[in-house]
Amino acid sequence: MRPRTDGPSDELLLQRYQGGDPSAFGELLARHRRPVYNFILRYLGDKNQAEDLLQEVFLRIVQGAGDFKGESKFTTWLYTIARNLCIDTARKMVFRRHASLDGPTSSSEDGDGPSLMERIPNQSAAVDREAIGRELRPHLAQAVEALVHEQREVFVMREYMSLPFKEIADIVGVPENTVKSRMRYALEKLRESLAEYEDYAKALR
Amino acid sequence: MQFDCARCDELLLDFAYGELDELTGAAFKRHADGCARCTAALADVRVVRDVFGMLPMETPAQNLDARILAAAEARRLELAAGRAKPAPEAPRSFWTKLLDAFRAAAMRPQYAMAMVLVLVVGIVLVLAPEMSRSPGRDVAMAPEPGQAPSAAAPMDDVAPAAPAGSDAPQPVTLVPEPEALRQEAQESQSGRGSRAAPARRRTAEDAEAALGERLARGPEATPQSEANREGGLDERRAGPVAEPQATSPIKASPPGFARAPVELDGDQAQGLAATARDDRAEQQQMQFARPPAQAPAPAPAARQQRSLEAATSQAQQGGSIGAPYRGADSDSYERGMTRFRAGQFRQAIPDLEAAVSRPGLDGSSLANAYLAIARSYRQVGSCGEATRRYEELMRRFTGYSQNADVSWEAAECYRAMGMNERADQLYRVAERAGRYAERARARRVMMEGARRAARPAPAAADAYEAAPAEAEAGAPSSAH
Repeated sequence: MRPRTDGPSDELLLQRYQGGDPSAFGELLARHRRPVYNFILRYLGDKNQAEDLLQEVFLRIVQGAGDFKGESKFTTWLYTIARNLCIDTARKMVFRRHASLDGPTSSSEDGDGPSLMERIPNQSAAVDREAIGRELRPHLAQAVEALVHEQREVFVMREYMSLPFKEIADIVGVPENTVKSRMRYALEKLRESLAEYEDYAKALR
Repeated sequence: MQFDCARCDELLLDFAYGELDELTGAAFKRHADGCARCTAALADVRVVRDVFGMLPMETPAQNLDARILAAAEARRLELAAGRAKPAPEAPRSFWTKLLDAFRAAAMRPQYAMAMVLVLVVGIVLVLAPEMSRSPGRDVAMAPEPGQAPSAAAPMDDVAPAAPAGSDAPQPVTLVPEPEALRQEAQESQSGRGSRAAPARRRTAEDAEAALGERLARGPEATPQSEANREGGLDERRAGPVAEPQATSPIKASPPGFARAPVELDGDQAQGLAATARDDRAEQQQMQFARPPAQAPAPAPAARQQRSLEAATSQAQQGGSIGAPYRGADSDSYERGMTRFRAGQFRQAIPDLEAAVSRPGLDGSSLANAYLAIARSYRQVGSCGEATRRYEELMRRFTGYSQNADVSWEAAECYRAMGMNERADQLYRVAERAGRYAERARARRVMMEGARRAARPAPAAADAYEAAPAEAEAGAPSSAH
């Protein structure tokens, strides 16, 4: 979900923070912590690491706030920082086995706890939809996780962070058409992965 | 705005994600409504979006906000106090940047593989020339004493010796080529001919280096080396000491001769190369060969010259290989060893035979004499006689420090004569001595291959080729 945009813009909030208003930073954090956290989580697949990196992202915002000239969007800068941190971390943990979003959560000692997907309540969904969705979510998460890194980051940023293709192109550092091409491939693969759950998918429509 | 399916494909994602302006979006929709293909494509995207849109956004831990805010405030205060400068990266050196780039690239498997490949190719390119020139390979390829010269020098063409003390140039041709070893060379050259030439060039270089060293020592060697030469085999062919010159003839002074220069042609220089290298190796390994403390003092150069002259004359007049040297006197041992060292094997044999036939020689000199006789016979192609002496040596001198050499050389002789069973036994003995282990094993593999098939099996041939040492030429030529 794209953070709500009513109220002052991100750039303005940052400007206020530069001017010595700490509450502006709190507002920025409140707006972006969840999408950025989810971006990192989808990128790395590790909850604890995602929280650590989320903190690091915002500390870098604090540290670099003085250098931000407003030539690009705040979100572009924010996700560029997040993405770079993710890339560095992924390199370091390249041989580590990532915790799956579908796996039991660490909160469960015996490993039988609900998956992360199962833990998240969706209050707004209808009961049937919720029930079906609960069954389908692990498979969806797996499908997203199975995308190649370039396609996954584009899909996550577009689908879950609601960033426009142009901005994604700026963040990733490739032409917009390349971003769209990656997105097209990602959607194609995800659609293929849905084939065996077509009935669920129809029921959810 | 006119829309077709191609245009629709271009803008499909923008439309699906609501990124088209109102006008273009409306045009897209009009086209899609009337086009089943584009409608289906749009439906596909929507299905995926609908379904995957169900994946809920995760919520970070509740206390994370407070933690981040506290950390941010602390960082801000630090920045304000100037304690933590915003990302002032220290200037990195060129090597640090290079290392970082390497690390970054190495983390990607495809780059890492490419780097490994480049590294391996580089190492091969760097090491291949080195290996082709390495001592081991040289040793393997360097011709045996009898192999090197393609044109054998006459056996008895020792030129008239200059008068004692004369400085007049005295042409002397060195190192005859034994027939038996030439056969062996032919066997080996069938598979290694192409490598022989560089090895010969190398040995010629070695010879020049060795000769240079000897020149530096002067025609009359130090007492120590003189003693070595006198009592042992280590410098038995240390004869020519030539000034390294670009072209032949090389003028050299045989040891014990007062500046009697030797003219060498190209082949002789090659033969000399093996000799020179052998000398260096044998100085280390043939310690026993040094005469006992009570050994007679080395004969003066003039005396040796006269002895050699007389022996040469006698041999040329009627001396035959192995025939008792009628003119043998008390100096026969010295004379024989001198000739042996000078590469005059045919002339050395009668002297040495005479020396061993009479009592008086101490044990070590006797063993040396037997070994010199055996080697001389081998050098002149009489493997039968050589093996007889080798066997006698092994029988009589069981604790002989050179027994590994003796076993190896005898085995080579037996093999040349086709007596493979005995050769195999002796190769086994030699194999137990580290120095010959690999070569002896390779020989046995080769013989085994030959036994199994009329034609040597490829594996056997390979094993032979792979025998590293083929240090034949490089192992002290005494070993041949």
